[in-house]
Amino acid sequence: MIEHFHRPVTVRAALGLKRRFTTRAVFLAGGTFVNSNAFPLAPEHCISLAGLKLDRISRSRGGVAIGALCTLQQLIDDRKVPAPLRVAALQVVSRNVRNMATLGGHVASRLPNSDLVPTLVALGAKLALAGSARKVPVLDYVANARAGLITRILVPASGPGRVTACAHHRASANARSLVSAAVSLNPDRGRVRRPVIALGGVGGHVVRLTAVEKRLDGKPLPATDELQALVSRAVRPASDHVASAAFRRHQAGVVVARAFDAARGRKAGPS
Amino acid sequence: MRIPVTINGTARQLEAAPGERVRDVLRREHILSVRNGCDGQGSCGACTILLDGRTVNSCLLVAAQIAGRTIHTVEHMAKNRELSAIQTAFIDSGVVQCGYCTPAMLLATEALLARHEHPSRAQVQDAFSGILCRCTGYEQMFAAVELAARRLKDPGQAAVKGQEFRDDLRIVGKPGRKVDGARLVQGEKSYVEDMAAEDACHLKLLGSPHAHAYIKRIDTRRAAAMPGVVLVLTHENCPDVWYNQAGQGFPEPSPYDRRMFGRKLLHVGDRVAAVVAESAEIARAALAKIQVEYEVLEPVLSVDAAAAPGAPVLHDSVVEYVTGAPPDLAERNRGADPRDGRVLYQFPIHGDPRRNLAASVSGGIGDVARGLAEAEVVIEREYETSQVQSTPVEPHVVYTRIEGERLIIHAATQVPWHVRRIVSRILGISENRVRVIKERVGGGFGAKQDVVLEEVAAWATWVTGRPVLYRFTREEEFVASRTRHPMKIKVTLGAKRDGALTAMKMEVRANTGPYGAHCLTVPMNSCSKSLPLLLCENVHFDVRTYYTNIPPAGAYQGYGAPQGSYAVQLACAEMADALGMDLLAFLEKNRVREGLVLEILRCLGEGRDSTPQAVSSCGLGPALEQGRALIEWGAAVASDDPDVRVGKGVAIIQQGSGLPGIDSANASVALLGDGTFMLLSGGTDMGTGLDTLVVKLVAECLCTGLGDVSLIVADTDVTPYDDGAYASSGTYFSGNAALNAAREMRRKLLEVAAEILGEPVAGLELAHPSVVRGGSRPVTYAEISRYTVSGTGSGQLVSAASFTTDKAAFPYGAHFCQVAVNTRTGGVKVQKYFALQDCGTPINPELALGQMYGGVLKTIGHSLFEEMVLDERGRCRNANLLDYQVPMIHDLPDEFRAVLVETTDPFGPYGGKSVSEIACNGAAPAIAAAIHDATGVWMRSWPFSPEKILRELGRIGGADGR
Repeated sequence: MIEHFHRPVTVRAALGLKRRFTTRAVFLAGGTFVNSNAFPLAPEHCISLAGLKLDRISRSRGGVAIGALCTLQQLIDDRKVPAPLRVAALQVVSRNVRNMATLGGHVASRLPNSDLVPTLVALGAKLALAGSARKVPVLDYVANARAGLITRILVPASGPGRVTACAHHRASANARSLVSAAVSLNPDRGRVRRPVIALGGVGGHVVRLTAVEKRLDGKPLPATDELQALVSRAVRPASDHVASAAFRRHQAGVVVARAFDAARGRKAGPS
Repeated sequence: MRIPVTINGTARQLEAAPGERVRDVLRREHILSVRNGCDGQGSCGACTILLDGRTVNSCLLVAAQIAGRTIHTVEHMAKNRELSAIQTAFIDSGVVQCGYCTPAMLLATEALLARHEHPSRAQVQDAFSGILCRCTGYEQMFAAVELAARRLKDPGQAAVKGQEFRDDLRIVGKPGRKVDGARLVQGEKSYVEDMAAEDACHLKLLGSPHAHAYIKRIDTRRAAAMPGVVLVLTHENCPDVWYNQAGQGFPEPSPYDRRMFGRKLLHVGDRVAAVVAESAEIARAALAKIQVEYEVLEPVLSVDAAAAPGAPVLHDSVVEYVTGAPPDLAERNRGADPRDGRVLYQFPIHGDPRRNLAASVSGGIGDVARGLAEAEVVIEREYETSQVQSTPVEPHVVYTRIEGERLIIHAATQVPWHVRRIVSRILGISENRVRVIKERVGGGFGAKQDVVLEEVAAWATWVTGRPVLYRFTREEEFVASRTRHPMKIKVTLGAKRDGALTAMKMEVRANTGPYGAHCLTVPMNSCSKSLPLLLCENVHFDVRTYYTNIPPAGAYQGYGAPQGSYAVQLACAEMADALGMDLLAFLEKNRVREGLVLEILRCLGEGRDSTPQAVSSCGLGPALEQGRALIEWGAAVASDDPDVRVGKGVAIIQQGSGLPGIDSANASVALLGDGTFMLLSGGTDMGTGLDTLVVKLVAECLCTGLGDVSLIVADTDVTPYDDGAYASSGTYFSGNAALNAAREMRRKLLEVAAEILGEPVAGLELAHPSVVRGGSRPVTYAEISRYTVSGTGSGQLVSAASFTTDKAAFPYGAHFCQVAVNTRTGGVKVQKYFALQDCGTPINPELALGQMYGGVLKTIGHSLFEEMVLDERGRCRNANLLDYQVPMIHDLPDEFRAVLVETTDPFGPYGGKSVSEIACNGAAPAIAAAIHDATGVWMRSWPFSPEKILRELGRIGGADGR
């Protein structure tokens, strides 16, 4: 049970509190994870990020900077946010949750089947961490369990012709995604240039399928069955109580293929 | 800490711990409309509030987060007692059923209409996307929002006129505001949890971590010694009484096979110990101090494992019978393990617990062997259904207290009188010492037909004298309340080439889990609500129900019929396919018709002899005709996606209306001073609209206004006996009892009017509004009342009546659907669903439609994705709403329509029959038939998950472990 609630108004103060209380303290953004019954820790100290003024979205020539405390609904409602990320945010189906959950909190939760992280990876997003000038790629953060308080998510402007899209598989409307994918590419007269494929739900964290990306780069996109098989062979999910490994492998291929379809503007039928 | 916050327009300073959930803080501040359905997962939305104008889950907020913020709850909506436009729109659109999620929906609507003056369907779905409603099936929400939008501009706007029935009646068959609607849309104190005193103790349960084990040793001393702990209960200090928790009429066809706490534990979550303490936190802390040593046994998790030779025996018990003991009982009981206790059967239901057999029965008509020999085509198929849970948003909850020498039980139950009987027997006290008050029920769906926690709280209160609140967690609701029996059903059909059925055989193997609540009657209902739909002279059924170590099974809306209907109707589809015959033509050829006598029912009683029943009314013909047109049966639908195939399916369905010869209901009507009436009904409304129904029947009969009949219901001290709300009995039994009481009141009114006038009764009649006409002058009910209660009068007019019958009133229906199957993903999208049902005269049309939508969506859920997943040790791996997957508003079919097909039943009140449970019987077979139509694969195991569909399609390999 939280006994002490801290309301720092500067990032520096927030970091100071975390240094002081270390593992007894937790940062609180929207609260949809930290305050839920699924949160595994029982911190004494809660460091609220609400006073840090990290809820703004700004556009520059280099891209869009999204404050870590922006809610998912805020992303959807703000046209400065790149369309693929707004679409991905809608995959968190509950509006109630979207009104609370923040983008920074979502990334920091490192969900293996995150609905948004694959899109952030595909968009080449980086994280600004408090107290560090270096910008950390989102994948580096989630895959390598990087420490650090996320202050902003920096989504670079897509280059000319660059397209990005996501696809997900879930068994019912509000279920967690079984697998989630996002791809980014430059279509070039029937060929795929510089593809990025990010995939969630096939391991402990979102991954990038770099080997598949290399196979595809510069070539015509293979037929759906071939692309799907290529992806399925590239992943090694485990069986669990939700799905067999075979099914996850299959759906991994399917969602990547569907994401490619969506990116290239091809309509996909009911999932 | 002190927290400044503005709540419903008033600046407040709340005292709260910083980490306290806002939901709990608000409830402590007497804002009762914020509910709890998911224990802080954020998956049900019942705790929705508006925080600075946006809908959020207050269970995911801690108190410190709301400092300086603005909160609105539903309590702000009505001005004084005048309901807001949104609230009236909800009531008038029939979307208020149990009411537990209604405040959340109202707030979501308020926020939505602030964003969009006239929202689209997609925007409505998005607004409600985080709020679970298990009752309504969401479909009528769209009309409610549309009406609310219009009323915000013009409060005088009328609801869109829906179907109306019976031009000869004023009230029955017409829309009418739900009598508890105003209470529920305002978030008034209504549910059990609202009744608990602030000093109530909390009861928490230590559940077994093992599916099958003995308690070798249990030490509760450290727990009992904790300050604030009032009582610790275990098998060592609970009543030594064996009983069954099934809320069925006595003597029950369910074995008395459990104690309050057993030494043997039979499922994960089974009762090990309970702590009653002065706070929930203390109770939880004390549970952690209880030390238990277990002897872990091998779990039995399936009917195949239970029936296997040498299988571990769950009830290695001494078996006893009240009547009808087999002659070799002593021999059978030899070697029983004393730790396993007893199993008492009230009468034989052909169980053999030492072989894990809880019950069995077989029977039939004609000669199936001959029928199969005569057949030109024979198919034999086996179907399997998984374990599903009804997930009422309000979990099981009870509040018990002492008043003088008596025990008062505030219950969220479907069966107040069964609760009283069962609890008083366990406590060893007479029934007059126990009062059960049925509060508003936040969804029952059958799970609240059983006494699954009431007796523990009752005992704790009886022993200690302390008030006790006991509420299941969501996880306990999954693993320790009631679920739909998993079944394996083998169906053998024989038919002539022209489609005429010559033989039907149904072999049901049901899994009751650890205890035998409803172990005979649920699987029998699988047969009795599916076989009589089809005309066949040679029919045989065989039912065997096994004990296993899965979470307990029991009653769930449909009561075995969804499983049986799935098997028999899909077998019909397979037979039609084998014959090369159109499925609709096959069903039309073989279906039941009005006036026929159903001989098969002779052997399908509830463990007792029964009688054949005539089909007194049947709307199947028009239902099939209308459905055929709606779905455009036979017209192929092309897909523009090469991966997607579209198909259509149909199933015919039936249910009963209570249990003739077993059920009974009572009601009374009293005339008040001004000519209005007080109706006392034993009927138990769990959100279905039964209260409104009985008021409408009485108002119709007595030629008075709906507002002139007030109602008290389901209080064992105040209202007369009623078996309870189960077996689709409400309309037929409780409704007919109320109507009989009104008829008796009518007789009395006419007699007294005649006396006042000094004229004969003949020629007098009741007339609207509240007057007796036909004499020399009109006599108002008010005048009659004054006359009877005066010092020279005959006394207040009170009429009491009961309803029992040996006549059945079967509702019928046909469900049609169109699905799109993505052969690459395995996903199934229900594009169209048309539910056409004959419930006789629909007494409350808009509420009847709501029952249908709700029943259909629940069963679309279990057809496509709902499933309790157990691991090899019997632990439920998805005992929460998010991972279990309950249908939400985005799961709706694209086009979803419930249609009432009118018939008039000669025995139902004003021709009415049941409407709710039957709605659960069509989805699985209709969707499975449609999947076959689309893809050519037969889905013989529900849910039809994408993984299973891909396996059937050969798109992925064999199962490689889960």
